[in-house]
Amino acid sequence: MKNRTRKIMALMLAVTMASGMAASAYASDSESGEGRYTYATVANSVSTWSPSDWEMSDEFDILGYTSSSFYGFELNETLDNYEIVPAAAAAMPVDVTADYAGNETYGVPADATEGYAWQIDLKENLCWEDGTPITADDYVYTLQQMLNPEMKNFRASSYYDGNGSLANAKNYYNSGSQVYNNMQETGVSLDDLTAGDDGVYADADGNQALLGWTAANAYYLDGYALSDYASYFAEEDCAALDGLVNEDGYVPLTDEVKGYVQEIIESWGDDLSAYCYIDGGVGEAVDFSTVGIVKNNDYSLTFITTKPITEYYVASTIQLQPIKEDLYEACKKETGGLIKSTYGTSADSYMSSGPYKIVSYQADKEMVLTKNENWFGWEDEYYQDKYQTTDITIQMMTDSSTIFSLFLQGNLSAYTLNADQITEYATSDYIYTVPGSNTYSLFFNIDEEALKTEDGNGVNHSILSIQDFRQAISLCMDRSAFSQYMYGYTPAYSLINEAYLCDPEGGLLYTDSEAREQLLCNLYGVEDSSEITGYDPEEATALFQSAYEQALEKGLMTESDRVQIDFHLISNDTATQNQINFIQDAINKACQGTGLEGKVTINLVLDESNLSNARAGLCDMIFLAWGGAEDDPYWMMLCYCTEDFNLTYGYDVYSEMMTIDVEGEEITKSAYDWYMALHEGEYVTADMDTRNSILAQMEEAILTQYGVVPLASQNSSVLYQQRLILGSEEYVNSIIGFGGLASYTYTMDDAEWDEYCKAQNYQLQY
Amino acid sequence: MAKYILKRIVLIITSGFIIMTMLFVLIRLLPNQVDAVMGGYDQAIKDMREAWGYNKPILVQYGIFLKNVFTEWNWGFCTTVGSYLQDVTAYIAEKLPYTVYINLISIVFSIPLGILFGIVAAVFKNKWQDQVINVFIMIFISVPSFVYAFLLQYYMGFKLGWFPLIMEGGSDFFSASMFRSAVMPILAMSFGTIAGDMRLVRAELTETLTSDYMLLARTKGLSYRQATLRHALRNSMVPLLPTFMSDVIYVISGSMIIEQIFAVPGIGKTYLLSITNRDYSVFMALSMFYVAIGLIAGLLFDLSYGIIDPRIRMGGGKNNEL
Repeated sequence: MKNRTRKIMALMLAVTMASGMAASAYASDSESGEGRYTYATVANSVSTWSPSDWEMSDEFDILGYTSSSFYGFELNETLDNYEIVPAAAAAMPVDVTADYAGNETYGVPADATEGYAWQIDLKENLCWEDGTPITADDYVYTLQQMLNPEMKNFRASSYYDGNGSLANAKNYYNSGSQVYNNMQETGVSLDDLTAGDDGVYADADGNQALLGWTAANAYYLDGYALSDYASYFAEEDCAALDGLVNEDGYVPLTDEVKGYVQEIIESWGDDLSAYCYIDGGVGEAVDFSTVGIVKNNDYSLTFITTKPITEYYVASTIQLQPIKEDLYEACKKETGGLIKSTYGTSADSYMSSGPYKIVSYQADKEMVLTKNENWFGWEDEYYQDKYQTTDITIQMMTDSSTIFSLFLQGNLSAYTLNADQITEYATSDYIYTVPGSNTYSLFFNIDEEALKTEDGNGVNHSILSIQDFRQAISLCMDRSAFSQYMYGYTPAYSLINEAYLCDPEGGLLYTDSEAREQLLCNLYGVEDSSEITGYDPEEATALFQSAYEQALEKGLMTESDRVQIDFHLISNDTATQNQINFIQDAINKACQGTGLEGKVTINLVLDESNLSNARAGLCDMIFLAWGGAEDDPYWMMLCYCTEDFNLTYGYDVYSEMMTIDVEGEEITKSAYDWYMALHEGEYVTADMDTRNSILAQMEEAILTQYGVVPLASQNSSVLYQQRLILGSEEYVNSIIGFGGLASYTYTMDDAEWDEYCKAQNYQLQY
Repeated sequence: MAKYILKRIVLIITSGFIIMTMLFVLIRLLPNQVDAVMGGYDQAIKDMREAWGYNKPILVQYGIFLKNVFTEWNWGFCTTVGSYLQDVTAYIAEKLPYTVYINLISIVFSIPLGILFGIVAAVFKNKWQDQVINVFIMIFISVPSFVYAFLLQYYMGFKLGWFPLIMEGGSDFFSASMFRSAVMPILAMSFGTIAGDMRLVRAELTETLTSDYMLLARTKGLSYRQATLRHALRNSMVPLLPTFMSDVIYVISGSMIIEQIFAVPGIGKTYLLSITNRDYSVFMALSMFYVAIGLIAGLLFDLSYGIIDPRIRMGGGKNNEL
């Protein structure tokens, strides 16, 4: 018994010590790494990097490493902009519109002279990673699969929508599918419809009109179908609509159906036509040969677009990353009624055509890439001093403290700092600031009636409907102080910030344009925009007093009332609390000596649905940023001038009129119509100065209402590994950043770096 | 006994079905799995939603789901986590070995250590050894395991450099480097189990040690150690064995936060990913996986009482009467 007990004890001790022994035994392992330069990064979770189905930016990064577009955006020699260089293409695209003018198959206008058809010649040494050549046939196959109507690929719209849409691509994609066209989007109003004998409305061509009730193609209100808002409608009406719905989720539009929904939809400020569709029938079978891609020979293709585009858009939008046919076909399988391909979901189901190839991939864990020796670029003189990086490792992980520790150990090449860390590393030699496109703004409810419903018990909200009050809030806040207070932020004075390129081809920032300069001077009453602080406490005090007097005069409040601004935010972390304290302090100071002194309170309301509540007029104020689409500032007006995105309740984008000076002529349109005119209407093809002028005047018209008050732009700060030298020390622009991986160089190879880190005890100081 | 087991199995199936139904309906009430995206790609998303049946009435969707599960064992396919379009069951099966690896080694450590220290605490009750062990029990039970995880990672991984900060990739589970990379998550998962087991062993053994039959054993001439190990420990194991069984059963359930911190590609991390990435097929299958473990574990615990101690009978029949 004694011996057995001892044995058990000994076994347990042995097991307990095993980890420690293993630790000491293998602590000194390290691979040589001589002549290797590894770029180590992290990603969230990668699902597919197939050209036809990728969704997330992490997935696109992998696609970028392992494929080459026709043209590349590379850092120029002076390191101050990008240059477009032929990559898989042999030369810059040639405009061959004249050859296709009047071509009925592709719908090119007979009088077209430029911009519709572009010939792209391919390099003749393009190869897959296994050494088999890539020819024009591969690109034709790739496009055919991208648009394959049986597959409904996520990235199909890249070739049938937007600037690079190809002739007949959408028709081919829709072959055999039931098509429903939104009435408002296609410019059909309810007045254009006539009721048939069966009571169902139809357009002039006899095509039935339908209400999108539970329809897949009918998305409203944050991505929900109309039926998701059934609580707004009478229960029996919903039941009736449910009974009438067709297999696609549409209800034939009759007077009865109108009666169920029209009044309620109009009470939302919407037009019923936005929720109605015209039956476009089943898409005709379209042959792929009619799609705007022509194989001229094995190494030459011509792309024909639906509208004229410039060389820049050819390079930026027609980026066919080739798909390897045999592998793609082998990966096809039927999933729930669709043919889909699992191409690009593992190392074995993907073939690289780019500078790197995948060596190993473990889902949700890591991916290792190394140089693809069969990439054409290694023989190309242009790329001789580029791509020093020999290997790329991608760890799939999200825990930020683990990621930061890995970075400090020298195991990662870059780390994006959080707000607290920015303070600590603000003076680091290795910190790089990336201007963010997000402009954080306060959005107010400015609708007097909606605000009045909240008034009562000596608490007033409706003073927010007075413009002077909102302007006073804008002027009482020192944006520079706010930015210092909230690390990572820079002051914002208008809606479109420094990240936006108005001329992507020339690299010109919208904020450097004359029109934008004029906007700021007009808005803040200065001669030079460099003088702007957006901070005028004295004027703010006067405006608070004025607002107070107006509120009393209009009977919105009494002298004894206090003002409460319900500030709806999703969370209440330290940063949020700092923001609230800042705004509250600014208001308190500016209200001193006015009738509102000590009476204005910012009341935090935690609200996960603050966006939809703001749109419904249920919030007084929210703090939100719009950003993205850095190469199209004009499109960003979508966020302020369309009903779906506008967050200033009480600002009706259809009835708020803007009078804008266009080349000396004053033109008046609604906010929505100006957005449409600039985005896809008569000013799409106007010269850049005219477009900038319109955009700046639209900004001014919106900002002078003070329904939205821009406060700060949030930048991201990144620490780069000590051995890494970026292509440009300064951030160039949103398209090229600091130069990209191709331009990165290293002061040490992996072996030297490991020695260096070891000497620092794997605790690097930044 | 057989009737009792059959009854319990029927109840388990019923409970599982109710939970599955509730889960399915609640998941469908969440924002769309394949959601609208600002700025384009809406058409393909809408087409995929339509083709994959997300626009059908919930009951119809549920009917299709049940048919697929019960006729083909088809729980759907991955859309936003794992490999695109991979069968969910195959995906989960890929993740399981990592979770089992971490948890199994943790159990192998934890149970013997828990018993050992529990015995020491009971034998030295109210002496300094007991006090020290009690302090550790309090700390390890009251502090969540992810806190140890961070502390271990920072001190043993980052500051001292003894272990890699994250678990190694690959599937060579028997390599020393893999084991070394798994030490910290194993330790983080072990502390709570060790403390829990220590506390139970101490409580049971303390009670047993003061029983009359222990006095009898001593008066018969057994030494204190013999009496403790042969009689007291064996008897006090009866209520403890189900607890140890539960430790073993939960080996396959994983720890979401620990796996997240140490980048272990197991099912715990996958479960969290399926929530954040809104992959509801994976979420549904994993939820049912956890539910199944819970229900089956409950049955096994109950049955184990009867097996361990023949005096305990179940079923509510006449045979149970003493």
